[in-house]
Amino acid sequence: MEERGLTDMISYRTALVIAVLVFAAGASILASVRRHDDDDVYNQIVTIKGHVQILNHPELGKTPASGQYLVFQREGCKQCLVAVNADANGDYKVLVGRGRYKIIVRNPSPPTYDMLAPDQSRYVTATSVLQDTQFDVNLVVPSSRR
Amino acid sequence: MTNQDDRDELLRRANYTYGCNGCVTIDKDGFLAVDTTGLGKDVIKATAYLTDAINSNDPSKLFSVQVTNNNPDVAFGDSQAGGAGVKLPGNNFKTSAVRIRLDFADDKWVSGDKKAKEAFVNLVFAHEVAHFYPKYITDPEDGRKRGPVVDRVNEIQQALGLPLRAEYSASKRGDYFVSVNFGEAKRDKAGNIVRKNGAIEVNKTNKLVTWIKKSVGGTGLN
Repeated sequence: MEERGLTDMISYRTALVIAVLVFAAGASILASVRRHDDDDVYNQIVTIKGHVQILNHPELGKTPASGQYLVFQREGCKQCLVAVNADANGDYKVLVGRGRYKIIVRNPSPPTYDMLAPDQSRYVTATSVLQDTQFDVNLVVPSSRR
Repeated sequence: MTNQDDRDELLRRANYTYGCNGCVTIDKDGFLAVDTTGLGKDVIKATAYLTDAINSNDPSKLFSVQVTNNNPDVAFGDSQAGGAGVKLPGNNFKTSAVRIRLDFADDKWVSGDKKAKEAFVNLVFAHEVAHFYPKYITDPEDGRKRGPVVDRVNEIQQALGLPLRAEYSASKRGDYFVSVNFGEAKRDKAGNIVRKNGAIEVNKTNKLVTWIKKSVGGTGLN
């Protein structure tokens, strides 16, 4: 009877040790694969790119808007702003979080005015992480300022 | 710019902006260049944006400076994105540029504190460039405030020991005149310049620059 109790005790201890080892190993594996919350931001970044041109440049007619400053404002968030300069060819590329953005292009010196062409879309929605969102921008110079 | 008097006047003003006699030049292709060697560090720091804009070889950062004296649409100066084209050396085409127009003839309608007037008229070019470089910034909706453009140019005025512009807009003085207030940098008890969001705070000192609104033209200050 005493011999069996001893055997049971040894088995119990062995099982306990194994359980602890399994738990420790499991916790270690879990810790190694747990992602930090910030890791997710990478899959939220999208690219908006395009060509900016002035349709009625006073000297050059239709021409790339070299160096044009573009501001993207996230819909529903007035202070969520990203700005980019077009390059010398009028091309731009901006990386932003997925979402819908309003584009703002104004002459900054008085009298300030909206430079977007009348039929130019003022919003762009960018959702694909894998494919760039193409968004070309047409501008006009008001006739009174030419 | 083909008129020699206009070129000379532009250079005089540009050199005034740097507090030098000949550090700003116009090269054979008609491009401005500035050499800041020997200038004080405060001036170099305050004019850094202007120096970068002038000396930049980036074809996407082009300005075209035009003199348009007695233009009824321009009060001292104005600027416009995509308002002009510039032909770079080696190119057979023009690239879109920011057009800066300066109306030197407006000076004759200006009176007031000598140093404030000098600062006001000579730094119009620096003011217009500041609207666009290194990024776009605008004047304040409330003209009694200074705004980032005036603040940026005030840094130059402070470095040169000139009065500082205390507000953006000109206020009416009677039926014909308008005035802009100037002042000096606000200082704390230790004598240090007080800044708010990086900009020099300005105490008005009753130094006014006044002009005849109808004669200067424009739709306000540019």
